[in-house]
Amino acid sequence: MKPDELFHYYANMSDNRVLVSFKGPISKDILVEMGGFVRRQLASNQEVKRIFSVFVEMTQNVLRHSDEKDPTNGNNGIGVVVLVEKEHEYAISSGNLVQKSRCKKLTEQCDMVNALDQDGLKKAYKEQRKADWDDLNGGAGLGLIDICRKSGNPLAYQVIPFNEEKDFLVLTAKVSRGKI
Amino acid sequence: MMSDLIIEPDTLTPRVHLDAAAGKITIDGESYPDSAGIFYSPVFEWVQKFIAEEKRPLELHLKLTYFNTGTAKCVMDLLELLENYVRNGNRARAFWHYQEEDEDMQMSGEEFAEDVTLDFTFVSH
Repeated sequence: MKPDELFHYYANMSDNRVLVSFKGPISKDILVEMGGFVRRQLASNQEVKRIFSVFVEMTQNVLRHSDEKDPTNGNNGIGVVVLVEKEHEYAISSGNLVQKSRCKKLTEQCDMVNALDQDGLKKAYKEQRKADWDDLNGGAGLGLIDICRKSGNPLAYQVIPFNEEKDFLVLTAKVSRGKI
Repeated sequence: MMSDLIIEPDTLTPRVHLDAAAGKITIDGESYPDSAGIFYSPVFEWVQKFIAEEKRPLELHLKLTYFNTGTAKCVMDLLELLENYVRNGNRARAFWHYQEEDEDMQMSGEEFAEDVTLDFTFVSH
């Protein structure tokens, strides 16, 4: 990265109030570090617990389900996670590569989850929690429902085609800022 | 007689104490391991062995302060294990401990209690 590009990167992050940004293999240590930072930075915020919870679920989704793995540790998925402070909300985004067939399934799950109100989400959460999980799926459904419940807003997604086999899936959860 | 199992807490995982003599399972702290199934598998093995060999009353004390969805699934499975134990003529009770001001954790406990047929006691601290 050239110096002026690096400055633009810095300025862009500052202007957009990016509190956390990470690109790379997500390990347990990285999760602990970022999670701790989120808690400390937002300690006085009444939404801190919900933001932390959504952040952890989304980061662990990348860790577990990204189709790009750390070559030095195949357990750790590679992706990006970003937490942005906005006027009316905190936006938590994740992006990672995922097989096209699985990506389609995930976006369908998002659509289903987004169609539910809070009562419907509670019901779906409880059903999914009681269901038998196959190891491959590892409960992504429950994670998406939980993110939607805790954030209190629909889970936005965007699919960017990457190559023949994989898409880049971006998920964005928004936690509304409390009115004081 | 079965032996106890103690798992010391780590950054993402709670303290777990499985007390054979008392028939008491205690899970205390935050729980958000990447793979909850792997973390909780020795707990399930212990409980299943207790159920098969001991037949004595079991108490489950959940003192969670934060948990991820993977953990939620494991807690549900554990509660269902106790539910079946009771259904088969044995005794088991669950206790949900939470900090008095922590409404989220109180609600989480209520949502577990709603989903099992089990003696479920709330303890606020």
